[in-house]
Amino acid sequence: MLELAPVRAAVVRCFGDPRVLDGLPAAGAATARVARDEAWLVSPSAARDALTQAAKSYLAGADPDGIVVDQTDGWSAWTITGPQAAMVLARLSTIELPSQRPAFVQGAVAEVPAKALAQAADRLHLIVPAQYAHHVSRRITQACADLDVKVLESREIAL
Amino acid sequence: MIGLLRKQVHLRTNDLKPHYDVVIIGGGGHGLAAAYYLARVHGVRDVAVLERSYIGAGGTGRNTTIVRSNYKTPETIAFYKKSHQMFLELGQELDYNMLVTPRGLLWLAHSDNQLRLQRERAALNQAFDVETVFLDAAGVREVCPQLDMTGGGGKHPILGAAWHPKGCITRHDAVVWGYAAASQRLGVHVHQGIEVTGISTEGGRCVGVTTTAGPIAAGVVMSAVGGYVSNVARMAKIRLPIITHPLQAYVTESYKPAFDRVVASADLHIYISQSARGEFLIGAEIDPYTSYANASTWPFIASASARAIDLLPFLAKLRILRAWTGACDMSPDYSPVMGTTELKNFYVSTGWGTWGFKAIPASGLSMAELLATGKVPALIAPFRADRFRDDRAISERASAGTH
Amino acid sequence: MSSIEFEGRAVELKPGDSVASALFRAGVRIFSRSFKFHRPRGLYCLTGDCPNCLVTVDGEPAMRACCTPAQPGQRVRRDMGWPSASFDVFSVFWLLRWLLPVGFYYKTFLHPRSLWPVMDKLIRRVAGLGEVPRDLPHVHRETWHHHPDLLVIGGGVAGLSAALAAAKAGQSVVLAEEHGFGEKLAGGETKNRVQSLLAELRAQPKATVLERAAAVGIFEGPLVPIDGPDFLHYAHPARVVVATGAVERHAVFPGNDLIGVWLGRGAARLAGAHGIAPGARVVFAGDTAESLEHLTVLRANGAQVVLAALPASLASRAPTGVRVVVGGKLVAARGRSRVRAAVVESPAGREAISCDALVVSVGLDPRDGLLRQPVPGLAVVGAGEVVRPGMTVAEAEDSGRRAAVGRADVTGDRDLPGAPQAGFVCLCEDISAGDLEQAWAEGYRSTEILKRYSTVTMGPCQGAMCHAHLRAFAKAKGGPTWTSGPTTARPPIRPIRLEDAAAGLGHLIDMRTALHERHLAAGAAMELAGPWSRPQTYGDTLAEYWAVRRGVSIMDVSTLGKFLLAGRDATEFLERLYPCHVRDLTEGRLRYAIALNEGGYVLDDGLIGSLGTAGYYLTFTSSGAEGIESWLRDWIETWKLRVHVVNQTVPQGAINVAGPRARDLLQRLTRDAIDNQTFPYSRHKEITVAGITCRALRVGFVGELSIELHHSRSDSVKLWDALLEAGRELDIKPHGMDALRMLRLEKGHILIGQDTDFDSTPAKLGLEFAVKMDKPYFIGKPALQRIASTGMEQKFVAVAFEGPKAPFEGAALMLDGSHIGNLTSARFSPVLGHGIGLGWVRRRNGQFPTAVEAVGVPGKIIHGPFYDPKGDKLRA
Repeated sequence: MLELAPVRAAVVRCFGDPRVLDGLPAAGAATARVARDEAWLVSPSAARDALTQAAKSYLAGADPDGIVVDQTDGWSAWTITGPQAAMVLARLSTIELPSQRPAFVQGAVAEVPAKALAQAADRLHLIVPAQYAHHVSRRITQACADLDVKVLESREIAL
Repeated sequence: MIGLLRKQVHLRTNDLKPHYDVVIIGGGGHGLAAAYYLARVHGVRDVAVLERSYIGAGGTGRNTTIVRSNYKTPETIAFYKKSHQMFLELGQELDYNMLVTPRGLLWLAHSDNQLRLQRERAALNQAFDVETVFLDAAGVREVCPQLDMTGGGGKHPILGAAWHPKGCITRHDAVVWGYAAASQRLGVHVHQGIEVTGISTEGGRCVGVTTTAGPIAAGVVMSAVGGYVSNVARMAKIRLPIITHPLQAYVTESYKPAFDRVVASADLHIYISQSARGEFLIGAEIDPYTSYANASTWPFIASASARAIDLLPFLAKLRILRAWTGACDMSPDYSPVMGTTELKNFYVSTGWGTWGFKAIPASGLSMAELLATGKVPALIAPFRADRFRDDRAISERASAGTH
Repeated sequence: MSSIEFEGRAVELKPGDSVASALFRAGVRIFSRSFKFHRPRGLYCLTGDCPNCLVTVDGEPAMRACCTPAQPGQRVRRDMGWPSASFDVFSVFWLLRWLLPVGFYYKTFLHPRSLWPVMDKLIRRVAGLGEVPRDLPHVHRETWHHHPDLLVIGGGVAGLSAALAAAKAGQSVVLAEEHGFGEKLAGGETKNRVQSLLAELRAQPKATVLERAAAVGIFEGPLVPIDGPDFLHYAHPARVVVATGAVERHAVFPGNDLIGVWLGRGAARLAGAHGIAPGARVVFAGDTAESLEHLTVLRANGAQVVLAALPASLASRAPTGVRVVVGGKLVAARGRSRVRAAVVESPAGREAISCDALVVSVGLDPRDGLLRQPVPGLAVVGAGEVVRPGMTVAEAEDSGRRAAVGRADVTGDRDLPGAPQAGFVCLCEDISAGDLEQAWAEGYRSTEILKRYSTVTMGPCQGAMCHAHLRAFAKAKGGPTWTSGPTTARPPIRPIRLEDAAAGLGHLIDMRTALHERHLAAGAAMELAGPWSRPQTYGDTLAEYWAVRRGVSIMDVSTLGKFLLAGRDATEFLERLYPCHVRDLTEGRLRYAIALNEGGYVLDDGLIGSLGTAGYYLTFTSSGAEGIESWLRDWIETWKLRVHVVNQTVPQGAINVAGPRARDLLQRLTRDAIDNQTFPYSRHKEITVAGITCRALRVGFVGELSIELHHSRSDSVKLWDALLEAGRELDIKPHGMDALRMLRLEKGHILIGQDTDFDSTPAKLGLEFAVKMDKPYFIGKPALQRIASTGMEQKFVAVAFEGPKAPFEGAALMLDGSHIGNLTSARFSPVLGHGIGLGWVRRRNGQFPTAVEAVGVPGKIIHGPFYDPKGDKLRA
């Protein structure tokens, strides 16, 4: 069985010099290095303002050319739990999950750009651009139909 | 009937000479057609066509065999209309059956944008005496009842189409063999398995080529090379506004006749027909990267199949038999590049992208005239290589060349 | 009794039956009719390689009966033959074969002209294999991706051994077998070994075993799609072992296509796996090592082998009770449609032996299509018979084990058979050795050209039976090596249904704004504008239009491309990027800007807003946004400037409040100053509307006072609702795309992609105002300078038509009865009362026209917008 829960997650995008981003403090959030010059901070949505502020303070000192943008509204997220959580990627994506946890991977899932934070063997967070949310949730239930997908109520992301 | 009983030799082996009046690089349809018309129309017979592989190994043997004249500019309409007419008589001209089969061509519109483009296509064609009619959804359904008018269960509803009833399909290899055999009968030499390795010049003029079988001197040289024309240009030290992309297609297994139209969708980048052998032929758009690679890729096979099923649901159960790839020389405006170059006595016919097969007769006829007389015929004057420098593109881009 | 239905009669099933064995047991001998001559064909290879047993099963044609497990209730019928496969009228073509030589259609039907179209229709009707299946439910399949260390293709002894060796060494393994494990084997040692290896492999935790799963091709990656019964599997292995075995070599001799002629492995499978003798009186001719095994299996299952022609090396070990002709060579098979006698030649002379089955085992060819596909440089190796046909079980196991650990056998040179003399070379297309001779004589003298001219190898078997013979034929002719080279091996290596290839695809991926549900609830008909789902109309386009022109209306413009651009080089970057001035834009100012490519051609248009020290806010069109992001990033990297670009297209929603009463509406929802003095046209400022922070932009697309509210996407619904609520007494209506198209056209605004082509320069479009040639540099400047002197051949114009009817979009523009241009946009203008259009015109005799006609409607070419040319309404 798979549980699919829509979650509210803060997404704070930090752009700056690669070495400066290497030292970006996580401040309790999950970090994802999506590019050399871009790092994401992901946390429960309630923490979005504090997270943005903290990131801005850090960059203001370390890289004044860098910018921090709270893009929480631009992304939709789900948490998938269950022993076969990784099957969501196996059915909908060519992305190979590394064995270590936590792991961050990105690529096309259900044909749209996505980021995945594999937290544990049985827990995976999936983040996609908000304009595709309806499509992705439908595809997950379709592709994993044989695995008995249970859709839960929306909640804050638990990292 | 006589044709069957008579012992025929179609293709001959010629002995390579060290000098020809005209050397044509590239033994595909364009090169062989030019050789034929040089001999037939202008009496120039001391001609050699040099092909590095077997004749028709390139685009002429790989395309999706569609002949049509429903183009989008006055210049291309005039050119392709001429070529279309020549195709209809080509079998008799060459005494070789091209197996031309009328199908009628439907260019579907799934969006406001395409509705406008297809209406535009029809209006322009009519203004230049090419039979293309705009059909609304009801009209499309009548012409091709197997179409899923909802476009895959509502994804891309078919709103209308430009209908070109004289569009036809033909046997692509027959064009190669017909032109080769007919030109050899007139004394032209066709050499297979000989690769050109260099273009020889003297005092700013082209004087011949070097090949894997030795040097050949020539009065004039023409490149009818497809897919590798940039390499030829490098040899000649000229610049051509060409980039080369792969184009893929596949056929299904053979089925009894079930579909007698050619259906194309610019929105879905897909086109479908059923060949005389009963195989369904499906093609899509060029691969988005430049490459000379000859390999088929899975993303093409998978995505073309999905889109084809959206249009013609019965295709879902048919089985894909064989996929292949060819190389498309793309010009910036999706129109051909023909005529003179910076190198005197060196001419070029290229930029045939995904629109080259149906152009072979008119291209051959026009280039033969240029080679024989040194003057660029009016029909192809707009396609000069340097038109981009002067902002005189002949834009066929909006019609999304897929075939 | 379980049974299948065959052409109206019930056929009993026994366990383990394939459709072929069940039908054969029930007495069916004609399984198909050949493509060209409609010759009756019977079971032959029983390994899924030849075309003889293709039948329709449950409505699906071209199913190989020998590899289709029989299921109770299946409906089977034969594909070809009229009125039936048993009695086919078109078999007369064989009698007329002298009229139908190879390539006959190229050589005739040319005179009179009208003859070919008639013959074409006839030939088509007779050609083709099965009927296109109709009314079969479309199955939507999903995909399943695997990332094993090793992929093994082929579940025979070699493949299983390779998979097991890898699994035991701790690697993750996927093994795919296209049929059932051991299904094609006759029985005995090999079959037992397969079963025990399989059991061991299934017990391995990191091994995934896929049965009835055919690998379709090896693509770059490596990527191997595998067509399984429930999923389209995708393997992304680090390494691949191909263990697809060997195909029994098709034998070419006169009469070789008669019913009753069998390949050795085929006859042995029928006998050993199904317990059915291929005939009562069997003649055997073979020189492969496994010939002796075949003889044993045949005799053990009721076949009386009346003669075996064997080479001396095998003759001594032949089973007792079989008459052996040592050194005997099979010369021909005789019979009309079924074999009646075999002619064998030996040192003693020629002998015709009566028989009803002729089993031939003359060689093995590697089934190596997967290995020959043209993707070099991948970690793909072979194991087992695909490397060296004729291996023993032990050798195959060893080959597999070594392949798994990187010590694979190297594929040797293929040995070709002797040149074909007589008989059918290509069963699929009915091409005989004589046909190849004739084609050669006609000048078609290389394998590729022979293939295309004669169609040899182009049928369902794709060369499995005939490719080696084609090469042998060409090679024997002498000539350069390339003329007898192999033809290109292409995917798919096994036919795959379109719906299976499309697994996981074909879903509509539309992009939706946060207001999608609101639009639906308001009764909007949605359209796909590029990738976005947008409201086309809410039911009354004209009312929506008038709301904008006379009152107040709102539109969801969240789809607009929006970018935040910041960094110390931001101004310098934009100065180079755009043809307009940027440096002079102070905070709060907006400027309309076009983006050009290096050819000086317009890519997109939008607005530049200065955010002061915080950088810039750029907008672009909805359809251009994605491409623009790549374009921006490319140039940042090219120039190596210190700039960051953030795509805010989706995180920022946008609602346009438009109409003469737009300010009235907003003043009910905001306390910020938005009067014309404080907030004039072409400015932007942050305001709070209904408690929501917005960046307000004074724009002019629709030609009325317009204030675009950019806000966080999560606030869209609240803002939309608040505007509609507050606007109730102003009779507010939302407007959709249809109304927008009318409105923007009246203002003469260009739609990139609709009104423009790839080579539209600012001058052609009348947008010179947006280009400052005095700037030292901008993208496209050198090109524009170069072409300034060549002048325009085409120009974009505005046309005011007479009368109430507007020509259709796309209509040709005519001057004096001949074509001079085309309309890219056209609508009837309610506020002006006549038709209007935008389009392109060419010069005639050096001049651009001042008047044109479209579908008979006369029009005048005008300058400036049709509606509110001075822009007073925008600036209100």
